[in-house]
Amino acid sequence: MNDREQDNDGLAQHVRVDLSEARVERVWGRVSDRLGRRRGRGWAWAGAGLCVAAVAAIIIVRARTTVSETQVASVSAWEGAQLETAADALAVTLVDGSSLKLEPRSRVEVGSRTASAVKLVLARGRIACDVTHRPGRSFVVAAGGVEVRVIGTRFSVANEEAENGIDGTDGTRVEVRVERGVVEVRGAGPNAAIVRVEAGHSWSQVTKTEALAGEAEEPAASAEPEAEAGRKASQRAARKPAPAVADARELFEQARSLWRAGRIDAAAQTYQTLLASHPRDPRAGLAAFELGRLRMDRLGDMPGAVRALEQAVALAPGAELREDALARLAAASAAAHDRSVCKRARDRYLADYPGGVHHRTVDATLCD
Amino acid sequence: MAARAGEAWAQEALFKRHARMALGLAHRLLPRDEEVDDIVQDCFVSALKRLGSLDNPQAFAAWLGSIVVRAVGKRLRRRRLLTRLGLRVPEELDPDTMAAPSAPGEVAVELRRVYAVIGSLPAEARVALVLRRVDGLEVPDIARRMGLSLSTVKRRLKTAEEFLERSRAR
Repeated sequence: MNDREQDNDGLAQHVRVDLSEARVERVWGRVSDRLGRRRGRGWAWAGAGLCVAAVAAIIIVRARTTVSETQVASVSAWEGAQLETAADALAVTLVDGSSLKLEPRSRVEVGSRTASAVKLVLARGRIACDVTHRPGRSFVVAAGGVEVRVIGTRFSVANEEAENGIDGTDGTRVEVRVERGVVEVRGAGPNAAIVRVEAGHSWSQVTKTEALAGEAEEPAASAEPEAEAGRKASQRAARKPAPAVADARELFEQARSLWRAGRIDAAAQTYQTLLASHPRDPRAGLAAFELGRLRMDRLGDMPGAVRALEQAVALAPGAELREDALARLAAASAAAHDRSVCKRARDRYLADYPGGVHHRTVDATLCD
Repeated sequence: MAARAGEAWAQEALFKRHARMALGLAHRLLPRDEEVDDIVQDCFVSALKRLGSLDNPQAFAAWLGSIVVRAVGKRLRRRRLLTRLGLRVPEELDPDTMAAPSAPGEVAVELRRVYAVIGSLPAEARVALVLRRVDGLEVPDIARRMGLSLSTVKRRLKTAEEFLERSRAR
């Protein structure tokens, strides 16, 4: 049932292959990483010294190599050059001893460099910088329309795809964290305020693709915006209650983590909590489906699986999830000897998905 | 639609739905191969990033299947070149390990025959043979998945079938 290969014609269904949950989860973990979904580990290296500095020194390094350790290079380069990393981080030391560090799957371009100004453009990913203060020289990192002006400090900038826009906005999130010293951040948009962010604080903004999503989504409470507009924006954001969807996302991720850790009961309970507290969240359909799968495959709780899968069918946001949920509902209700639900699910599946991938299996389901 | 918009939960749902199909297909084309997970991973990343270019979302499975088939074909061609250059040891596959224990006897025999010869076949002939004999696809479907013309697929299948016949005669 869970194995789509069983629905194939030909010899394929008889080939011995590991299609275990563990393998699927492992591959999904890597796919998810590469899509930039996982957070929380990128800042660990922010303390490593990085820096950008010397005006004349610039870089051209393409790090599409597969080294196991962070590479360290001492290089000089040119305007328009770019640093790009594949699977590994890249640390670069400039001629004056300054350095910068690029996380995996990141790209930074040298936007301009003169004797009095250096500008790096973070196209994607994360960069951490440890900048030596040099009087008369400005140092700027730009990301998604946001500009971070450095005043001799250690800080990092991330430019990543926003995850299901906390406020409903699709786009990228630019995040600035300051470990030492001070930076000035100008948000994206023509009327963006300049915000001063000090050591130990962070600032972030979700931007719509290249441009402007309005005010900072989550200005750090302790960031000190210089302009009045910045102060107002910060205060508005500080007063705004945390959106419920953030809690749902946390619960969803928590359930997945518990599942991966083998804590099946706790994972099921967490999905249940998500469904009870956020029934209208976009993740609710998938949460109900996953809960049904856990109860059916891992906990042997068929009546519980039927309840969850009925909810999944009702909440399923897409035809594909609904099709899978209906097929599972027919199987789970048959196992639970719930004749009426089984017949209803089977008939509905066969009517709605005459060419469905589970058609043969569902058609063979005995509800009596 | 949500997956097209890049919503993580929707992309995960799409992955979970099709992961076994992709892993199974890649495994049948590259059995017991340590690179299968990497290939499938690459294919999903590519597909999820290009969802917007898919005209019919319902066709995702077939589209993903094509991506997997072509990725495997590319990997096989590169390996064959490296082998010819002496930079790679040819793969060794025990065809007796391919059939599941529950497979009927005649099915196990047929799988053994196919997997006994695929290591000797050129990449395209190998892929075409597995899609035809193991996955049971028709020639037009194979052509679509491989991105080849019907006549080319027929030639590749002819080559593969000749190998099969020779192996049967031995």
